[in-house]
Amino acid sequence: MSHTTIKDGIDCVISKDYFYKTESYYKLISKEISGKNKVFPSSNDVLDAYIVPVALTRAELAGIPILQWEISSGDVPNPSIVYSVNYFSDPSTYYIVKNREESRKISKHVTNCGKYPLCYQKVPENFEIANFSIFFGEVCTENENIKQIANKIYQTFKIPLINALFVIIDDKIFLSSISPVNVSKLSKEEKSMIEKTLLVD
Amino acid sequence: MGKFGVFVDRQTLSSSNQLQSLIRFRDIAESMGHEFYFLFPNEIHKIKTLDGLFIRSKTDPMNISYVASRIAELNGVKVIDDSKSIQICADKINMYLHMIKNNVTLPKTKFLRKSENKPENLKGIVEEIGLPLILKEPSTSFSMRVEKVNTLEEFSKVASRFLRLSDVLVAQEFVETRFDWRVGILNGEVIYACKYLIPKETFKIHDCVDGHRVYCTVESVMFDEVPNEVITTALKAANAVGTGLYGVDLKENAGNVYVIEVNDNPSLETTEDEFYPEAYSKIVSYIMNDSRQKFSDGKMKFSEVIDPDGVANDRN
Repeated sequence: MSHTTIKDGIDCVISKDYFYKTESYYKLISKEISGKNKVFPSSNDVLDAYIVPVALTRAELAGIPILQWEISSGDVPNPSIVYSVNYFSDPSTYYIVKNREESRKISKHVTNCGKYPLCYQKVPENFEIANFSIFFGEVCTENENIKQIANKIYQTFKIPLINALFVIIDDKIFLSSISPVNVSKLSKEEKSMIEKTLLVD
Repeated sequence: MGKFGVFVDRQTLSSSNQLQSLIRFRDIAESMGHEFYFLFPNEIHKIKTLDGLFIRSKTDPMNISYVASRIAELNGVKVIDDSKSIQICADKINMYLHMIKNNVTLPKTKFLRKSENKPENLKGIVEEIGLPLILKEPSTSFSMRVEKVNTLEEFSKVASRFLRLSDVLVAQEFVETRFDWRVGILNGEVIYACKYLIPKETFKIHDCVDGHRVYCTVESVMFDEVPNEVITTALKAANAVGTGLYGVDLKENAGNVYVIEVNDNPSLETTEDEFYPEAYSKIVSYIMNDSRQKFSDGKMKFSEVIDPDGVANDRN
């Protein structure tokens, strides 16, 4: 489900999920090809954002601190955060592997027994994970550092609604992935922020 | 002279034809003075050290080949296939929308959204394009998830199955032919042409019939034996996508030429280029910006023998 608002000759398609081959994604494609108005966000930006290694490369080039990533056919060091890279990938789904047994089991699962590669991000033992939904660059937190990074993510990918997974290591914040917004997991504050922010017809 | 990389994965290396084709690329690139590197997915970070990248693995926006293409672009490395070509060609909805926008002749084509999967809508599509019709899941490749449906019931059944994989499907008029034309185009120039002879057991170039794989026969065809309308239509279709390397599939029926699809990452390992010995070096030259080699043979300058008014050049 998506909403479109037209502002200053730009079609803004607002959706919680612009995933490849969804109706929202095709709405962007169709508007881009028709060429009547400029479209926001762009289909290229949403594809980039939801593919973890591409999102992190773009984010790094934009000066956003990221977790370094590697592609592997199965071997994953411990501890690591693991994402799949294939037709069925969803960046909302990630795995934390902490030992050899988990690493073997998860890599077998995400690579479909070695058929596809995976993306991993090596982390130290003392890491924490924090999830934030970003609405037009705004985020519900008092942490100025996260506010700044959230705004930079918005400026880079120009996606109205997005979820960002951060990893915190020794008080430093690193982007791990960007994914569609899961409405059922939004806090009251976040829902209220969406209501204030959205420019729905 | 520069560093030329070919991005491959384990599927690329699964047949001896593919392997031979890759070795030929290596030999030609090296004979042109370039350093040659095979790159596997776990070496993706090395892309930024190259001068040019050629992707030889199945392309789709959701798989590792798209990552390789974007990493190349973000690091200023010239790449075939570029990400825009992958985004358009790997997705039949996107591709056909580009064809329609550029007035490329297609079989009658309709899109079916998940929310429209109702008997009255299916009936409306059948009334418009007839039966049998071809149903395509957008990210089909090698004829997978392309099915011919003969009745409304079959249409409904196959549509429901495909709609689990995509929110929109393609329904297309069935155009019966004995073979498909395949025209290889690089940067708006034809670099080879061939025929894919459709196996008699099926309607598509690859299929699984009674548990057995059947494949088309490939026949390379000299340029002067290809109808002019096939060439002009193929160029129009390729130009509607971009300036990369494309294999355009076309059907000729009752005096009409229809584009069936524009493929990025076209196959080059099954004698498609038998009569076009310069096809590989042209690809390497284009990627490496090597002007010495670029389209040096007068006979191969197809754009010069084609009426430019018949060729669209409005790239999106």
